[in-house]
Amino acid sequence: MVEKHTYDVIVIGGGSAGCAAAARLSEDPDRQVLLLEAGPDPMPIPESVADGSQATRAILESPYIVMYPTVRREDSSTFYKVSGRIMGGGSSVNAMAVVRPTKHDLDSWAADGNPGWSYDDCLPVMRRLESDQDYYDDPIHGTDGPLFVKRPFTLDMGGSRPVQAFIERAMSMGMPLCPDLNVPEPFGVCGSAYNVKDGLRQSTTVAYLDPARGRANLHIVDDALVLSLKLSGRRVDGVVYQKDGQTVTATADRVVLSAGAYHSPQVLTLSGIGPARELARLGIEATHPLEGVGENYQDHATVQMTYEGHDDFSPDWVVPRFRLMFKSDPSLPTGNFHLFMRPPTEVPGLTRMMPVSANLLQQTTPGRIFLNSTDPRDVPEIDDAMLAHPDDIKAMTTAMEFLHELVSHESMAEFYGPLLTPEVDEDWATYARSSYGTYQHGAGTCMMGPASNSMAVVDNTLRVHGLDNLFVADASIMPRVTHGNTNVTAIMIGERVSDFIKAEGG
Amino acid sequence: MNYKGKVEIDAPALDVWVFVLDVDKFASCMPGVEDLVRVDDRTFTGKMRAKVGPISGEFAFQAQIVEAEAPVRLAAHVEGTDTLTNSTMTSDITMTLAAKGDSKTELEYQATVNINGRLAIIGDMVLRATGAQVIKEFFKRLREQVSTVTS
Repeated sequence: MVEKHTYDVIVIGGGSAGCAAAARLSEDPDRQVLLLEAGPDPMPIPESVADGSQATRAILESPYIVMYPTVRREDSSTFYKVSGRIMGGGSSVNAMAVVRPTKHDLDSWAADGNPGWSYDDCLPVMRRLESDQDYYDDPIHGTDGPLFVKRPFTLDMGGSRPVQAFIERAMSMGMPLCPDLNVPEPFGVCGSAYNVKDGLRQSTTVAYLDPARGRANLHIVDDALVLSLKLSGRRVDGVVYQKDGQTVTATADRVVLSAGAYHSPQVLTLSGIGPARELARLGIEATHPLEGVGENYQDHATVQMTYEGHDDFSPDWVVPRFRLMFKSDPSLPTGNFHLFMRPPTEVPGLTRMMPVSANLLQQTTPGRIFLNSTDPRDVPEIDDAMLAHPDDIKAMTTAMEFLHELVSHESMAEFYGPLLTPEVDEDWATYARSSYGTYQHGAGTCMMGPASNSMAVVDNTLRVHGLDNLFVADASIMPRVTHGNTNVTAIMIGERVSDFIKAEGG
Repeated sequence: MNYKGKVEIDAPALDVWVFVLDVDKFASCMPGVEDLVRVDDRTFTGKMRAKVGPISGEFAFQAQIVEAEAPVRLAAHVEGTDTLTNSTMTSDITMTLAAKGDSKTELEYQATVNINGRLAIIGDMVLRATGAQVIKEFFKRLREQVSTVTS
């Protein structure tokens, strides 16, 4: 059975960007907005998702995760990228860190041929989306936006003994104190902001969608898997999705694709919008060849180093929410690592293990997303190419050496013993390439750029090149992954697409 | 995850072989095993507990010797489930023994560990270090116990 419905705007994907876009676009009661989410929209939000006290609960315990097996090039070992399949998307399952893009990130996007995306251009949007509890009357922070932002640990609080020792040791190595990670160019020992209010996760479901649910012009359909977009000339004239076993076609003046860095290129490809060679390989009719779809994949590689721990301090300490913003080369324009203490691992019969991690915030050689199936239920494949470039592996081993120098110092001996993994004398580059994980910040697969760039998928108003009424708005449009956690940037992108559509009277 | 390495044991190859083929003795070398149950002369079950930061979990497993080519090669298969996420882990381990003179044995091991389920998302790097320590402790105990038995 096929049903047809018509709207002003259809937003595909109720994630970090999609919820923000749908909420903003539906502020005008005359605009009919349909929000389609592939996952459920449970009410009340289940405790494993709502609980903001333990960042890993949603990942470990909730059923709202999609896992993408990813093979490391070095040794063909497998690890997993994930996304959230529930209203709120990544914001419903992430670690709730509120980390802005750096000034360098946004100014680079603008310099790459995307006018209107410089730091100064984006700052008003970053301010209006937040309600920062720690900075009032501050020129870079907002106080009345939908997203609750607070730093649960500030550097003047004083932490547990190992935390204090870690911070003091970092400072002795030249890392300044940086109380706010969200300044334009953070560097040093940084306090991190989180979107947790009264112990509850402030996903975009909570921050944006819930206040908008009562609007008669906002139509929300969950468990709605988009199968394809139907093109007619330069326009999308139908969004085909499945709901409760029925196939539905919805039409709208404008369509915003916000299915995330893994699924936005999938929806485009299944609709015949993608690299001509890939479409031919899959047997999909090329309705609008675009070489950049699925390309330019970038993520943040993380490598963990594990030290022997000692038993002479409380095992119950939890690493507070701070991190080091580090530069592997002092001449770099922006910090390129988040360095973390990690909580200890304890197994009876084994020595306590004390990990630290280096999270690389850039990827020089991009990977790609591609399909091996035309079934929309199948997850796309990822060739992530992380740590493939010599500059990236050199940066990673430099950061590992910095961490080793930090925790191997006599001032840290009370807490960190000998290095267990990797071994001191093994090749750390090989270890990194064969054991890296992910910070879960996949981006870039429908990159924004000028029409002169053959790999660009959308222009600086997020409209798909060559099409009149299709926009992409999520982490996939990032020309380069930001030097920070990506959730707030995705929300900002959702805010911006609503501005672009409003500006043209849509 | 793949692990491999060599250890030298101060005991003749046959003594090492007899030791590792004894399920009770084999199990006694595994650190942190609780509720050990011998199922048959090639199989045992048990549990291991682990705490990663605020998260605690228990891993129930069954280990079975699946191949024994006396006195040079032994293969074991381990599979189990963690109680927190219901993730499954399988591991295949091979050990090859080579006599080094009359009183020493070189034991070469190779292990592959595969995790399916949620634990694999955050557990890979944690379990990599943990696996390395389990193996290190296993062979430390093996060396000590075999040497004690034969001395």
